[in-house]
Amino acid sequence: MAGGFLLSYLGVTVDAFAISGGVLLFIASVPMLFGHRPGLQAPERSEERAAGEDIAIFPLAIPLLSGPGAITSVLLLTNQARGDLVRLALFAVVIAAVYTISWGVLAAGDRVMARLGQGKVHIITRVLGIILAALAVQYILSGLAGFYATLIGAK
Amino acid sequence: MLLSVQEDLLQFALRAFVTLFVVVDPLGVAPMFVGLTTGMDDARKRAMLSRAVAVAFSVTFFFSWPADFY
Repeated sequence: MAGGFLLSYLGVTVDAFAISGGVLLFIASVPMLFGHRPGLQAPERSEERAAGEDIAIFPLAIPLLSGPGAITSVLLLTNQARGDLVRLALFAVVIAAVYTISWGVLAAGDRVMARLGQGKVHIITRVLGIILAALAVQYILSGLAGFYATLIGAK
Repeated sequence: MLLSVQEDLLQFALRAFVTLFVVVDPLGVAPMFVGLTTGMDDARKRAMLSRAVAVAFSVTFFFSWPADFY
């Protein structure tokens, strides 16, 4: 696999990917928890900086929407396609469909939140910060579990 | 014969869809998206969302192609 080839060429395992993703995600959850908005979110226009608050690529695209889980399952499913062009094309359509639906779900979720007041959104942000932090730790744990499995030869 | 081949394809597509949908987990990411974009105006949120989904698709798609195509 092209992506799998790149990872194995660099000697990077999906477990390492999970751990690094977890660490980075944890860092992203901290400003959500404490209500700081350094870099990630600018409360006022004057504070906007081109790169500083860009959450699109990190953490939203990677690792939230395309994380170790998505990459691992894509590698597995590509294997199952066994080089069949029809399946690979079909798989590409499936990937496109999943992300199109995801776009719709995220846009809808945002509209629902917009109807709640500022105070409620603040509370929810903190709670979600805790969940995001826990999710980040879970990534790290899965990475460690996967690494341990490789060590004892169960994988 | 033809029908069974198609059924097999459908099964593969369905399995791929369900697997990927569960791991991408848009319903779980939606609240995170809201939390991360707090304080941004709508146009900016939309731009972030579209870019994020485009990048996520590209990365995932990149991992879905076998090495022998290169």
